[in-house]
Amino acid sequence: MNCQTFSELAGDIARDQMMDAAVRAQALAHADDCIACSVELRAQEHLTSNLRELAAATKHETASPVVWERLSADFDSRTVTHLKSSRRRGIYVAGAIAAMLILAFGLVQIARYRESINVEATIAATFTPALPAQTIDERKEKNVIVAVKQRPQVVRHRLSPLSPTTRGLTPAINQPKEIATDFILLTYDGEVGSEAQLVRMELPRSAMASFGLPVNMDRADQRVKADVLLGADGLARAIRFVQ
Amino acid sequence: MTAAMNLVMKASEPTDTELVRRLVDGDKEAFAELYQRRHANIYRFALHMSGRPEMADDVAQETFMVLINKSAVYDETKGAVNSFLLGIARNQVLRRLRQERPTVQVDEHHEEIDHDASVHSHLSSFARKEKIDAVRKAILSLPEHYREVVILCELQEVSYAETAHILNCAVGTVRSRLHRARAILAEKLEPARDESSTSSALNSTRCFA
Repeated sequence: MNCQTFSELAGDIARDQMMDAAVRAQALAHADDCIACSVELRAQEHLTSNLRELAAATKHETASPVVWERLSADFDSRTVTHLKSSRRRGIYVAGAIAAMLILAFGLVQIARYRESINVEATIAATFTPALPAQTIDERKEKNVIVAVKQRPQVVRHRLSPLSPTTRGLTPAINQPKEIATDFILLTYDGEVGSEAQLVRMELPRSAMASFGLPVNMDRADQRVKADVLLGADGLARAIRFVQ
Repeated sequence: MTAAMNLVMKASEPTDTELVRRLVDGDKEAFAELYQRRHANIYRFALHMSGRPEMADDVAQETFMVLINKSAVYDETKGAVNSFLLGIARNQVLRRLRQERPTVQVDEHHEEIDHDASVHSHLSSFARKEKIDAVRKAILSLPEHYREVVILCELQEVSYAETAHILNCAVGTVRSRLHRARAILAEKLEPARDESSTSSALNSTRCFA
């Protein structure tokens, strides 16, 4: 072993670091023969001793108690803040959900209200004041008329092509006692106008056959009720059969 | 019997990693236990690095603040909790030393250490105190990259591998830095200065065969 190699190992030997036993023995043998390396080894051992003494002297040094007090306070405030923020977040979420529910409920109510107004307006347009033979409740009819007067544009819109919409409303104007067919158009344009009138009349049951409806021949001689929708000019625009 | 009981008690104690896990869940007792176990190491590392008790206090506090806020970041597969904390402390110390570098002098450290009552209380004689102060002064005079290796490997008895992890460098680098640092320290702390000439003379005659 030369001094260069020994110098690299001197620190580990002085610190009692684990190393190959043979290498250690060689290094120590070299230190016995070489004065310079022997001095270096002593210096390293002296340094190790000093460092251990310093480590021992400072072994019980700790941070001041204030550090823990500050950390503890910070930990608590952080926990409280965390709890507060999570609680606040929960309140916000609950509030948002409640607001959404209220909004949804309101929208549904508005939609229902509009729908009912439209239905009433359509009924009013269909059943103008002169409906002598109607069995519909008078009070409702009165309301409908008022609605028609207040909202003429809605009525016009709903009435002009008389079909799917008007037909779809048929159950609404039917009372429990009566069952009616859909309106069957008697003209090609289907235009009724805002002054339309509905007239209840009785026809021979065989008349149903001319509109393509099935007729029980056993009762062909009996009469059947029908609602005829008359235009402003007095001409029939549509007809439906009522039972 | 007592030793066996101590072993059993130690085995039943939660590990640092378990304490960190509990800390993530906001367990203050776990934090207190971890602080109790590790804060002295952190404090002493900072004290040896800076030579200033107040800075060591600040670094210890800051290190554990980081632990509170970023405990979830700790990955046990990358190293022990002690290494994790020492790594944070090292960054804190270096940052502060760099900020204060223009005004920090080694002699000032020495003067402040002289007033450190806790050191005085642990020293049995004035001579011993002087020697320890000289060692402190010598360590403080080392460049930072040598100083931290000496403190970790010599004073804190951290393994080379763990030191390499803390310093984010290779084990070989740790060994070479420590070797160089020890050489500087040995030179500074030579028992008798008058022997230095003899030593130099010896050096010139060293065998390189």
